[in-house]
Amino acid sequence: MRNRVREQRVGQGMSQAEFAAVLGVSRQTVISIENGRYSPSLPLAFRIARVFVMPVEELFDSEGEGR
Amino acid sequence: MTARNHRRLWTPAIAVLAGSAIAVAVGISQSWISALISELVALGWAVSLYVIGGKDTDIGAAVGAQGDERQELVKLRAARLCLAVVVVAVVAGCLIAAAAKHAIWPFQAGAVLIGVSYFYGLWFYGTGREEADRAAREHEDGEGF
Repeated sequence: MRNRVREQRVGQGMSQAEFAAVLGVSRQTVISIENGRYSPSLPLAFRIARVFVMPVEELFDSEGEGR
Repeated sequence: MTARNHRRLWTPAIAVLAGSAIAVAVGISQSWISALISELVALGWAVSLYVIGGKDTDIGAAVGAQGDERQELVKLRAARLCLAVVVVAVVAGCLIAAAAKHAIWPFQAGAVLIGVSYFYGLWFYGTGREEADRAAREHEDGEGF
């Protein structure tokens, strides 16, 4: 799943470690989400969206996912 | 010591307990020198697990019992691979023991345990827990009247 997490995080001047601490996940998980290798659960996706104060659908793009 | 560090102790503690049980069995059936060696190996393994559990990696999180949702998924997939290997090992062990005219009941017992726990897991994590919750709720509602 493509997303704009890296773009938003860098825009807010946060390191991956800081962002991981805010979300309560590991740095490896932040890396995996940013690379699109891992699609977060709904609660985590909403937590990420709340950090960036934007709707979850603007942050994550399901295009290309199997339907 | 924080709760996070306590969780890091679980896996090494289980390794020490299991290793000690094996060492006692070895001591009773073979020799106490072998038991001592077995215990030292278990202690070394437990120390390694404690060190690995403190690493900031997926393996560290799995061993240290403190992973997030993705690391839990990684752990689950690793456990699935591990189960597949155990099943193959049990079948191979059973075949080898049968061919060598040794007792095969330990392998059969292992296979039965694996099968029963697998189907129990399918039921429990599938609908079993929901059914139990629903039954509990209905019981509570019934008490309310």
